[in-house]
Amino acid sequence: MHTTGISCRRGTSTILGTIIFIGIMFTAVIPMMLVVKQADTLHEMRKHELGILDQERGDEALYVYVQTVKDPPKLIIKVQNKGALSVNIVRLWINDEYIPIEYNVQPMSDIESIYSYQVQVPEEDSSYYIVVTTDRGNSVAFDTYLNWNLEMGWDSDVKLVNVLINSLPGNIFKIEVTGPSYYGEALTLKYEPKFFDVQDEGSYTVTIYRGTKIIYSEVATITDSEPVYWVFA
Amino acid sequence: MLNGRRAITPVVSALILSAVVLTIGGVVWAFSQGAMTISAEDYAGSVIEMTDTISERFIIEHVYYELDVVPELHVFVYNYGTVAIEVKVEVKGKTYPDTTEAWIEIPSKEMIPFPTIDLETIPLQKEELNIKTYTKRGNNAYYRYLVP
Repeated sequence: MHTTGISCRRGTSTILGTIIFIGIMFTAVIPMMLVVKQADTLHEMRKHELGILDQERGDEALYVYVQTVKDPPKLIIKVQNKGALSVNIVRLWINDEYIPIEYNVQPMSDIESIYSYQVQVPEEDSSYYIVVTTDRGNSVAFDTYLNWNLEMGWDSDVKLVNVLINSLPGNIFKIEVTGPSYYGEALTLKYEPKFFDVQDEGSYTVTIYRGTKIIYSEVATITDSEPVYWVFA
Repeated sequence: MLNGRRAITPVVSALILSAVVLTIGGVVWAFSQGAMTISAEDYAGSVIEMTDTISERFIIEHVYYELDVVPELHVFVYNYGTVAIEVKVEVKGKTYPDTTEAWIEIPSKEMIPFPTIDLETIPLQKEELNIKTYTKRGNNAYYRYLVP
């Protein structure tokens, strides 16, 4: 009788203790674990999104070209998107001045004019440097200073054949550019752009060598309206 | 008679024991709930803070220098990330804004011209200025500027 009484009391306490334990599990521990899990999931999702954003930023392939017009003096800023992603242009820098713009360039686009900048006729020789900023945080510059000369106008009616090797196998290459009255050659590394100031209109043959072997050839046509030609090999 | 008096004791002791178990259990329950809630909130808060930290994306978009009355440096910072940032700029070992509490806030997807930085000494021509911008959350961006 005495022993049975102790067991009964212990049994009641055990049941109560178990109920309290289960209550704690369901009202405190499990909700906390759910909150922790949810926070971790959100963090992982954000990391994934950021990874995509960074990759997209690296994949942007926007090129900027500038055409100069003498009378009235102006700069026509053009872009070409050679990447697989559309690019939003948010700002245009002309020297230290910026112009907010909103322009979307579709992937694999042709060369498109995005802005015509009327140059106030400068009282002295001056230079212009053009940079375009995208919403993914890339700044792309037109690699040449455009110089306005008081007597001659744009002395940098630049006519350039630019070569960028980014897909040919190998590391060191020789580039030859030959034209009607121009010959230029340069050694280059992969991903290192080379610029050939050809000066005149005409057709120029760009030949790329690895060692002594010709591995790529392309004809670049330079005109007044398209004074810059990019060769991507 | 004796047996009749004894019969009350097991009931009282069972009640006392149950009351003790319930009291201790209740205290433990309340404490656990409070502790777990605080822990969960702290954890979620720290994860959100960490997520914001890794979400920061910004660049020094443009820098130029002009010699007015004093040599001035103009710095433009673009926040292309999805969270607002608070930044300071460090040039030649000096921080701008120079007070500890003052930060320049840049909303997401905005570019702001940083308040003009008055350099104490005129930089030399072709001198390289290493400009660092850093956020309150501890991320950095650098820019190398060649004085024209």
